[in-house]
Amino acid sequence: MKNLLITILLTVTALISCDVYVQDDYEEQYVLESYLVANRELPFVRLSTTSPALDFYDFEETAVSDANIRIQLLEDGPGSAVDQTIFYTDALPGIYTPTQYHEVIPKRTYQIEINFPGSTNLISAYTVVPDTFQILGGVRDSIIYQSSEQLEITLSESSYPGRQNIFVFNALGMRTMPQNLTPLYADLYEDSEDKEEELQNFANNSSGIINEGNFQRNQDGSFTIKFPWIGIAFYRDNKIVANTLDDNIYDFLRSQEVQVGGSTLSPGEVQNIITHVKGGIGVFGSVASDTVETFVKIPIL
Amino acid sequence: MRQLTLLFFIFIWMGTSLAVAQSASISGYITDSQTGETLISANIGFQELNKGTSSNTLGYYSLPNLEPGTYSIFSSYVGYRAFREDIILEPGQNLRLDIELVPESIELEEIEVRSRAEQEEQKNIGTAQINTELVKELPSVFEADVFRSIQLLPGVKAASDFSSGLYIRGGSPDQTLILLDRTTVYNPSHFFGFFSTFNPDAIKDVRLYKGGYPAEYGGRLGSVLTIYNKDGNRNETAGSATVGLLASRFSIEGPYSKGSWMLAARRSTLEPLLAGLRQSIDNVPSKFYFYDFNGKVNLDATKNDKLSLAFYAGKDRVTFPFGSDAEFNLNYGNQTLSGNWTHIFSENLFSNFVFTGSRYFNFPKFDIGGTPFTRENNIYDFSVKADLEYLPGNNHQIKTGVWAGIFTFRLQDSFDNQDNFRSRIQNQYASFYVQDEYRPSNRWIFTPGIRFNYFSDGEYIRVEPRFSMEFRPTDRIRLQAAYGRYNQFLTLISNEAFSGFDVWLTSAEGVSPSYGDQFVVGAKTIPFTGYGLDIEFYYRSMKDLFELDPFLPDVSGLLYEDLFRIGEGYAYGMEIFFEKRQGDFTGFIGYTLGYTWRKFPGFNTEITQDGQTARFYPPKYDRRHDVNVVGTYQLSDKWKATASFNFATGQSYTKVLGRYLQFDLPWTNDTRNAFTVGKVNASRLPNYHRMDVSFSRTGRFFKIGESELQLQLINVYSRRNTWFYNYDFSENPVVVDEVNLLPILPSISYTVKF
Repeated sequence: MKNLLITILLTVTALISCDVYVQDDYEEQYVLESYLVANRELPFVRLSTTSPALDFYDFEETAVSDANIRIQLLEDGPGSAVDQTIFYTDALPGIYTPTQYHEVIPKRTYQIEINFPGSTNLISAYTVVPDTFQILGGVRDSIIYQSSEQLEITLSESSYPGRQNIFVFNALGMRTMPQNLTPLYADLYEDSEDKEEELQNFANNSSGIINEGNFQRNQDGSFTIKFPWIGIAFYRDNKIVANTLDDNIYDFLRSQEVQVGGSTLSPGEVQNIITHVKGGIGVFGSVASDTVETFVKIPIL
Repeated sequence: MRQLTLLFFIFIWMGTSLAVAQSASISGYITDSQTGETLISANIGFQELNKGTSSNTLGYYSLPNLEPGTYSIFSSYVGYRAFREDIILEPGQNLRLDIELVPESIELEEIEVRSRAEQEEQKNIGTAQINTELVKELPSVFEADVFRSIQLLPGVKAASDFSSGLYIRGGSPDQTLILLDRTTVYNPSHFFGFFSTFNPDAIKDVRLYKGGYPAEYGGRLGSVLTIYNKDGNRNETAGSATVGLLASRFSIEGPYSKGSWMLAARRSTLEPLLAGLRQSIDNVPSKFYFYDFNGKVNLDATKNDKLSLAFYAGKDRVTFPFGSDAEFNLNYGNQTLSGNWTHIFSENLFSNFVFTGSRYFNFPKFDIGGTPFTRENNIYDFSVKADLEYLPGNNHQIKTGVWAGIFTFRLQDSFDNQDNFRSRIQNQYASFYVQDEYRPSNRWIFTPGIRFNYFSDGEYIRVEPRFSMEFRPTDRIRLQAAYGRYNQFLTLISNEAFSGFDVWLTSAEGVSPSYGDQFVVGAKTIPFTGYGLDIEFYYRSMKDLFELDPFLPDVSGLLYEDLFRIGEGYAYGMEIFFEKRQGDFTGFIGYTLGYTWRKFPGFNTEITQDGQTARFYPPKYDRRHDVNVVGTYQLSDKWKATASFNFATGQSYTKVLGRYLQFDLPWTNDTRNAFTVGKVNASRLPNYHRMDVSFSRTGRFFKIGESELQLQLINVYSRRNTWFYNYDFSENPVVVDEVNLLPILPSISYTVKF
């Protein structure tokens, strides 16, 4: 019995003295951010670095200047020959703008490359721009809030390589005064500590990721959605925007939402955001979008 | 030569016939003398022959092929006085001896001579039995709870103070099969996971197979928990009523001409408290209650036939308005029904047939700003089981059986009155097993077994070999080892903090079932009389673990197999259990050293690897060291004190290292906060420790019956243990808030037994 206990103690000591899973140290990363929108001008590029998690965060303190940035339109998919190159220049600390006009072409692949004078660091990423679509006619000019007749939107057929379309919808309130808030958002506004900021956030109210699989597909390939009342933050004039996402933005959004909570992962179990940037992190993504306007009437009680 | 051979065989046959003709047997039921309840795994044997067995799950025992003669038969069970009787076995006699064991009284300070077999109790490898009276004595948060008691055993961990989920030997709760009267229970929790659905007044036996479980069970990678309801008092009508802070319960049981019956009910009693809170506090639920019923009827049809019908029904309901235009509703629960027929063919052949039905339902609904989000989740599981126990000779005990059923899963999600996910899966499943407990001598036991499983969706057929062995070098030491292959066709989507939204998904074509191997070695010893010391080492692998991909915000339009991520894991560790069983002071100390790891594709990769090179990581419930100390002391005839102390090293969590913002998403004015991390769950929360005490005083309630007043204090020194860290992004720099577990909590309950 005594020998058995000694053996156990030695085994336990050996096991507990080995910790092979040690936490990493903080490592600064380049952060790239740029979003192409189909049929619109090439956007600016934001370049910065991460800062330690518990430090005061100031973009200007982390902004990276003097980088060499170019965005290239490729002939075919990733790795194919370059069709056109657009160079960027410093506009503000960490903000770079294109030196020439270029309209983003849907269904084409764009690549970004960033290097730094006197350094071998290289950042690159690519995005496949989603196919465009249109919000077809027949949208109601006005609707009564929470009535039985919801806003119905029909989108023309479009596709994304290898998967269904993934959407984000947002409602832009055009008269963003507190007295125009719908009841749910009025409650949230009342409880808010920073009312001004909250009002600004509500002015552009987005839905989160919604798969095409939710929608009723029509015979001509278009699909119809009913815009949910929860998306309407303000009465009166609203612009309803439908956006389709590329893989980079989809991966960023779905992993970022898990990182801040609200999934089946245990509290405190956090993983890095899914990025597709070589030599750094962040998003080089693209969307296609269309907009329709409607007027939301206050219901008569 | 031929004649010699023929004569040889004739002599052998005659000898065998004579042996068969001369041998005797003894069989019967072992019951509680006061209530008539059958006792599971009670020991019985002959001291002269040093031969014995234990009663099965229906309280039945059999010892065949005995030499005729005069013997002293003994029987014993923890909490009961040892039984002894001199019997005479005639040649060829099949003696039916039903034994009634007398419960110990508190006047009895020392248990008289106990056989070694009795002291060993139910000490098979990886097995632990929970004393139901201890469940009621242990200090508990508001309500005595079976699962909370099980969490004190070595090898079993709790995720938090708010969860009664069982994390056993590195496995998640869905890796434990939970059977109530042989019926699977799919969400055994009330109050969002705070308590289990098992009413301690209604249950008779609780047995946990932590690992290496035998071939008669299957369907889960890790463990099996079997719970049996009481049959009902066969001698007199009796009952009890308990009033507590959170809930009250009532039970009654009694005989009738042909058998017995039992009914137990429990309901939360929070309504007055909630009504009071609503006067001054916002965001208080307008409805919040749970209830459950347990019932059983037994019919002793003949000496060799018993029938029983058992049921359970329970529900949780909450309605929570938040804001003027938002409300949350949740309605979830379980219903089970089982009908059982036990038939004794002979002293060698015992059978049990059961049909089971189980339903789990879960209906959450949010109504926010005129937009409803609803889910309807139903599971129906109907099955039949047949088990045979056959004793061809004293050295073998063969068990075999089949289990077949239909499992129907229905899940329908709708958003804004439009269905966005609908799935209906119906599977047929079947299992067949055979195992043989072979005792070639008094020192060796070998139990080989094999189990075959079939699951229709995907046409999966899986074979599960099992093997265990035991060697007793002395009467005080049992050395044990076991191996088993295990498969699992189900996975649970759950949140550690809140079990009200639990959904089960199944393997299917394109989604293979999980499987794994377990290796267990251990020693069970009696170092001194009245003490037990057990040590066990385990290793288990987990392959093809399928679970819902946590990074899918919307599953509409996806194929079923695309909903999952498929990974692997392994766990290993050591458990030590030291127990004092006799005297005014009894208790145990349990220690666990455990490691558990998981790996999923694209998860826990290096930050710049773009989803490559996934690494193993410890899940949150991985704790390196876990110590539980439980003690009960009989202060006087009327007063008893029970205390428990738990110390555990911190759970794992992910320390965030870096921070950045994303400013320019085209459709929103929001900035998006983002962290960079290193290895997932490579940091440790502060150590956890907590002490609970309970004092109970027995007395009389007027002339109605015995009473018991129980005063409890949970977390006596109000240790603010950490549950997790929360990051407040509204501040710059980010503020890290510690979310704590339970503070000091008093509790009181009063029980009357009649």
